[in-house]
Amino acid sequence: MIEIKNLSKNYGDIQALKDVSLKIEGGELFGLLGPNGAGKTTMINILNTYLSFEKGDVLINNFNVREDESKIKKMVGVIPQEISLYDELTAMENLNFWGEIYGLSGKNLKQKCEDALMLVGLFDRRNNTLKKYSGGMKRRINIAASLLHNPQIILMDEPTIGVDPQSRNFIFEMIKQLHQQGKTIIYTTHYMEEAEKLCTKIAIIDHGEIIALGTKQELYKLLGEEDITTFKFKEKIDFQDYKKHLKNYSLTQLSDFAIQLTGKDLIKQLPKIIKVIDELPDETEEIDIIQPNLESVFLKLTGRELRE
Amino acid sequence: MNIFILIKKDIRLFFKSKSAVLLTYLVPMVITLIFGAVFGGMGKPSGMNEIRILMVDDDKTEFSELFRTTIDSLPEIAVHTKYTSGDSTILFDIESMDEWIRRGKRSMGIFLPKGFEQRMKNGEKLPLEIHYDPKFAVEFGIINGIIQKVIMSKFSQLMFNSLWKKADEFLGEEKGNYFKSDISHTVNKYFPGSSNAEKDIFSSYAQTDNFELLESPIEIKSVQLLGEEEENIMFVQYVAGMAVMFLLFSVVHAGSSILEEKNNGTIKRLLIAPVKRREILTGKMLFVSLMGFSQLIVLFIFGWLVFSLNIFKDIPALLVMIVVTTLACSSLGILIAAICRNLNQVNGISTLLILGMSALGGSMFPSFLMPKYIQTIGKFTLTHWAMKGFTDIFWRNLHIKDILPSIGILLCICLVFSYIAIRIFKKRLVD
Repeated sequence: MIEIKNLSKNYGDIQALKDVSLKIEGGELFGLLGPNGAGKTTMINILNTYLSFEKGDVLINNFNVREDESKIKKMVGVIPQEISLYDELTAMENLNFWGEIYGLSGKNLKQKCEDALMLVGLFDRRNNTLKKYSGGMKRRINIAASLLHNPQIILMDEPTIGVDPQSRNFIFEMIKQLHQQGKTIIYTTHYMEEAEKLCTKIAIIDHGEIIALGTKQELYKLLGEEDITTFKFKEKIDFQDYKKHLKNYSLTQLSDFAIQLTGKDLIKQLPKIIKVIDELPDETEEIDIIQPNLESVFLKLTGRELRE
Repeated sequence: MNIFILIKKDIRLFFKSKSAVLLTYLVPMVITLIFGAVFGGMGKPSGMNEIRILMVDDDKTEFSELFRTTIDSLPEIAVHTKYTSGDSTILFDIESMDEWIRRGKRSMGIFLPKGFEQRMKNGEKLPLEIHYDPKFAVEFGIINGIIQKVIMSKFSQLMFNSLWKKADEFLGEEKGNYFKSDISHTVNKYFPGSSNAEKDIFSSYAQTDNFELLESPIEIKSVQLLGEEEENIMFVQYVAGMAVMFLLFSVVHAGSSILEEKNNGTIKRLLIAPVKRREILTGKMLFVSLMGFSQLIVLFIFGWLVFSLNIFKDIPALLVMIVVTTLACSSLGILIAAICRNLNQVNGISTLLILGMSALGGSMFPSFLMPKYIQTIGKFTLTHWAMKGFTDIFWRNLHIKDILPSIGILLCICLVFSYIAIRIFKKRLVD
C-alpha cells in the first residue's frame, strides 16, 4: 500500500505539488491523469526516492521514503519517461547490466533476462544492439529492464510516449498481465483514453493538486446528468456573440474554432440550438454529441482541455 | 530575400550557442597566444634565453678565472660554479657537476682541467671539456659556438701567437717584423674592444710555439652523459609527449560520457536503482583511469616496438608514473565534465586546456626551447610533471625515489581535482 500525506514539493518559486494526499491499495492499477506540467513526474520521482520534498510523508508498504530509501528502491520498479538504456549494447547486455545493478547474478540473472525478453516479445531480437530497434521496441526493453528484480510496486511514467500503435497495444497487454499477477501499478499519463482503458482507480491532477479521485464511473458522475455537444466551425468565431445568443446553456470555448455546450436534455433541444447557430455568420463544420469521458470531466473541473 | 532570412536565422542560432562562439573566436585566439608565446615570446622580440651552465675549474689560475668571467659576462650565458647544501656553499667538482646534469638540473657544464693556463703558455691547444645532456643538443651547439667565438674575439692574441711564429718561419725575421707591424695595426683598427687587461696578460704569452697558422687554439672534448644507448634521443620526448597529450584527449572524452549518460537518463535510472552517487562517480573515475592506463601501456609498447624506446629500464617506476599520470589526467577529465553543462562546452574547454597544457608543459615540443617565463608557467600544468617523470625514467635513468616530486605533485593534482569534481557532481547529478 502507498500512502501519501500532505505532500508538497517546490522548485524554487514554483509549487509542483500542493498538499497532496492519496492512498493506493495493494494490487491496484492506479492512474495519475493530468496535462503536461501538472506534477505527475514529480510525484513518481518522489515515490522512487529520486527527489526530496519539503513537506508531508510518503509511506510505501509502511516504509518511509525519507528513511528507508534502500528498502524502497528494492521493492519498487520504475519505468522512466525517457528511454534510459545504452544504445550501443544489445538488449540482452542492457538487461544483464540492469539486473546486476539490482543484485541478480548467474543463472538467475540469465533466466530473469530471458523471461523479461519473452514478456516484452523481443526474445528473438535479444542479440541486436538497441540502435537497430524502433522507438516502440526500445520502450518495451525500457519496461523489461525495470521488471527484472520482480518488484511488488511498479511506477510507470508515461511509458507509451512516442510509441507506435502496435507497441502501445503490446504494452497495454503487458500492464494488464502484471496487474493480474497482483502488482501494484501507478501509471501516469496525459492520454485520458489510456487511463480509461487500463486503470481501476484514477486521480486527476492539475497544477500540483489532486482535483478528482475515484473509479472511472465515479469520475463520470462528476459530470452530472448533463449532455455534452461540441460545434466546430470553418472560421474563427466571436465567442461573445455565441454566449449572448445561447445564454440559457453552459457554454465553453474549446478553441478559436470550437465551442462546447453542456446541459440537461441537451440532445432533445439540439434542433433549436442548431437553428440559433445557423443564424450566426459562421459556417458549422462538425457537430459532436460527446459520451461522458475523462476529457469532459477535466474540462468541467478546470475549464480547460486536458491536452492544452 | 529568403537567403537573407536564412542567413539571419543561422547568425542568431550561432550567437545563441556560447560554445560555438567560444570555439570559433576565443579558442583559436588563446591557442595562437600560447603558441606565439611558446615559440617567440610576446610583444617585442625577447632575444635568446639565458643558458645556465655549470663550470668546474680544476686549474684555478689567473687565466682560467679570466676565461670563466669572460664566459659569464656574456648575456646569453650564466655560469654557476657553486651550489648550496644546507647552510654551506660548495664548489662543484666534476662528479657533482655530472650528477646535476644527469638529474636534469642543468643541461651542461664546462670542465677546465689542471694545466689549462700552462698549456696556453706552452702554446698548446687549450684543453676544455663540455659535459652535456644530449636532450639539449641545441643548447650544446650554441655553447660550443659561443666558446669558439669568445676565443676568437676576446682572446684573439692566441691566434696571433701562432701566426707570428709561422710568419718568422716563412718570411724570416726582417720581413716577419714588417708583417707583424702591419697585422698589429690592422688588429688594433678592427678589434678595439679588447681590454688592456687582456692585452697585458696575453702580451706575456706572445711568441709561443706550436700553433698552426689560423688553426683553432682550443680543443673541446664533448662528454655525453646520458642516453648513450638510445637510437634517437628525440623519440623519448615525442613518444612520452604524444602519449600524455592523447591520454588527455581520451580521458576527457571518457569523462564527458557522464554528461551523455545524464542527458539520456541512465544516470537518473541508476540513482533510482540501489546505487549510491559516490558509487556512480567512483565507477566512472576508475573506468576512465583504467582506460587511460591501458592507453599509456599500449603507446609505450608501441614506442618500444617502433622507435626502440627502452621501456624496461625501471618497470616499477614506469608503472607508478603511468598510474599517477593516468589518475591526474582522469581527474581533470572528470572535473571538466563536472564544470560543463553540455558536451559542446566540454569540447570547447577541453580543446583549449589540452592544447594549451601540451604546448606549455612540453608534450608537443621540448620545454627547454621555450622562453623562461613560459617554462615557469608550464610548471603549473600536469603535463609538465608527467613529462618530467617519464623523461627522468627513460632519459636520465632515474628511479622511483628520484621521481617522487613528480609522483607527489600528480597525486595532489588528482586529489584536488577529484574532490572539486565530486562536490560539483553531487549537486548536479540531480537537477
